[in-house]
Amino acid sequence: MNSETPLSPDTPDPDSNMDQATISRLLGMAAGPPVKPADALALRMQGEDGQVWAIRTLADPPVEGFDNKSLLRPPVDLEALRELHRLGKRRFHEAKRADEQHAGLLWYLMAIGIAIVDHGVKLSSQPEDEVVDAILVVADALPNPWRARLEAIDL
Amino acid sequence: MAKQNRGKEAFPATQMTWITARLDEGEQGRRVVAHHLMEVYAEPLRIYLLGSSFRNAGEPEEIINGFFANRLSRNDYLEGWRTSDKRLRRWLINGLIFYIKEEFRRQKRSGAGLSEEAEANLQDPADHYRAFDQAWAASIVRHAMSEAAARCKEENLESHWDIFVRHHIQQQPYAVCCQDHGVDAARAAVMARTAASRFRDAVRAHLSMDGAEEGRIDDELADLRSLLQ
Repeated sequence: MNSETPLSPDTPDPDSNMDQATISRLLGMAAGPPVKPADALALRMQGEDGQVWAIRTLADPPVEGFDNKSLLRPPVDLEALRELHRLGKRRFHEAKRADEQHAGLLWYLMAIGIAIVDHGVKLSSQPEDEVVDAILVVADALPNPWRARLEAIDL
Repeated sequence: MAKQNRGKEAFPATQMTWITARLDEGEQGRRVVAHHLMEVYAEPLRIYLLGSSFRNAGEPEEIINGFFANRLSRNDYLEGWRTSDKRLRRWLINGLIFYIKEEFRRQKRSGAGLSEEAEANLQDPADHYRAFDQAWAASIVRHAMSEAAARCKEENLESHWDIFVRHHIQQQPYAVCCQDHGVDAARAAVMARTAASRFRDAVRAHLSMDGAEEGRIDDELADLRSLLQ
């Protein structure tokens, strides 16, 4: 087991020697489409225009008359979050295009994450570990202040 | 995969976008493309040369530098590749072989060429493609790591990258590498997953720039991995 001093977060030395098994394993990590919807959403937000897309999507909540900025001011009304969760889930399942599905998942996870952070209430029946993992993967790809809002689930 | 009647229009979009955009920028853009090619392909070409019958043709570094300087100074060299339906790495190897032979002829005319016997031993050693491809795979992994690390830094995800490297390169369990970052093992796994997605993007971009179509990238990765077994 390697217990050396942790790597600096700087760029790894490009001349460092990696054996062929490591190179092969790393190439394998780059293969295949992301299996989980949260990974696909995170990749969407990391891609070209992804941050613009995320900001535009977050500016247009599926709940009529709902001000997205209120989501950044805790505590958010729990009933509003339940409605956001329901409509996000519906948009995800009824989407005909990938971006609509991504948007549905984003609102769905946003509602679940904020409900946990602000109220300690779990809106989803999915296993909590899986839901929290998905929220954190998506949070990592979000611009601030949305990232910080969802990352609070990990505190 | 058969690709009939392919013109420039049918070229993979990502590659077309990046390289075409740079080339259209003029001299500065061409320098950027040249820099990319030398960064990613010089070492695999050197390994290819050392394993080939051209290994006695001269100092590999000098030959490769001369090759890049000669070919990349031509406006039409990469345009020829774009319309060739070849992988960039094959285009560069073929170009390198032509360049060496041109140099032999030039030296011969000046009376300083190889002996006839030495020249007769020169072949186009396709069997050394394997060593080249192995070196190229290592090269794109290293560059993808650098690019993913830089991207994580830009996005304030340095801890994510550190955990990724420690877990996936240094083989530390998450329970160990999480400790310096004040997170639990489950969170460390999620953080590594985020960094892995940046790495994945970077590797796939390199394959795309080499000429792989999006729908073929997984097959290309499998082929490269099989070379490393």
